Amino acid sequence: MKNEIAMKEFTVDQARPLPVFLLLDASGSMIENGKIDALNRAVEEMLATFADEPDVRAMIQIGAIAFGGDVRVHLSLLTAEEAKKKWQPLVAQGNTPLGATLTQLRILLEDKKLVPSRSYRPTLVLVSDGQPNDEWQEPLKQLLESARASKTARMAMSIGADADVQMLQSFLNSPESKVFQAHQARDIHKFFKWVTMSVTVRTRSATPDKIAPIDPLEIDEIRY
Amino acid sequence: MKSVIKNGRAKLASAPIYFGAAVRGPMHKNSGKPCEDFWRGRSVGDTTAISISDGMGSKPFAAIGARSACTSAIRAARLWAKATDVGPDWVCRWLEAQWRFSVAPKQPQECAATCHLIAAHKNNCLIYAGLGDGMALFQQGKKNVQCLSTRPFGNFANETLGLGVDHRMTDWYHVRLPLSKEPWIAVLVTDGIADDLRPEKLDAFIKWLRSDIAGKPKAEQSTTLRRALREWPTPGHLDDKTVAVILSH
Repeated sequence: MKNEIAMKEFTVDQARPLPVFLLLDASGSMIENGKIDALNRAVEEMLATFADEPDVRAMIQIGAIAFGGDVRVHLSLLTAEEAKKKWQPLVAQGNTPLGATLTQLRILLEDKKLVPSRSYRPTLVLVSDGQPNDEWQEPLKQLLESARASKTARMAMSIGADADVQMLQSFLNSPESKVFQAHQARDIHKFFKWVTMSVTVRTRSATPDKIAPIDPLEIDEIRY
Repeated sequence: MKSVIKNGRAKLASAPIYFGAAVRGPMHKNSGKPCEDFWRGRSVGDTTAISISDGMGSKPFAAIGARSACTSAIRAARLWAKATDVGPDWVCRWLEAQWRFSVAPKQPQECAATCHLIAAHKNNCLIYAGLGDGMALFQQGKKNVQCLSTRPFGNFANETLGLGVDHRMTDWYHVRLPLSKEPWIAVLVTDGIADDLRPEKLDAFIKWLRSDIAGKPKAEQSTTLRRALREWPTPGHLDDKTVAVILSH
């Protein structure tokens, strides 16, 4: 007991973080067919589930970058409990500056104060319903070639028929990983259930750094 | 530490003290696997050395690789003791070759493990050589604690270089330090410890090792340390944990 008290002075008092970064399309086209509302509801539900998850093996942290007209850190990287409290619904407006979003993400990932080395491999989630309207190929290349981003788990969802599925597949950068294609607003909810499960499976696992691929097309077979 | 002057050079009057402990982490306990961390310490002739290794859990013979890394490191230190003018980079080369022989006929990649070595010579010098995750700390007198190892920028938890993993000799960190008459301490820890240490409290960690562990009678040092590591307070910790300490008498 004496040693335990002494050791608390020089040891961290939190489980290792498991960061999740959401890259959320908030462009003007997201207003159509209730897409932005469905996205907001799905994210809120995911945050609530994460907040209820006990930090047994890993402490889930959530951050969100919104891109619509401009690029902004909509939610700085926070514990699930704090993120649930601070989350504000996205407002759809403007165009789709994806390239600037990917650059912003790379900067956040490389910030060792924000994402310390003891973190488990972060999960990156990209959601978009349209075509990027800035130069995105070079920022994506820089992101995927960066030492930290190359080790992340990545998931992507296209919303509607106008989405650039090819671009989203490039973000995943793996032939085994598939873009989840949402045709209706309710599919957005389904995708975030998949993200939620993929993250919580890792926090409960004896090996949280192992990322087991789950086929989004088999999502209906999964028991929650 | 008492020194005597012989042939115009300061020499340590008595060999440094060393102790250490490796304990199985909750992940291996739950899966029924053995501890894949090891440590070794030896005082041979004019040199005292400590080594630690963390076997990579995804490899089938990680425990064998880790044990061999520690014994190979000690053998390399023994060789260095006879030619201390040789730089620590050559110690790394010899260690690499020795490790490959000791794991044979198993494939090196099936035995992947990190490796860290500290050797102190009576001739008042110390070398450190390390490959992969883990940390080496050094303090002399009342100076600040110095971290001899560094971590590649891209790494997240549990991703590492090591023996048996594709790497170059330039991936090794090595340093040679002079030892003065002031008391000194050097510590090696695997990432199960390093990842949970608060960077601004390394001096408290060293102080704890000095006063609460090294202050015990020799027979109790390793058992006290082992008991303490089993009470590791960081929530959700999973890894095996190893600490090896060498300090002036």
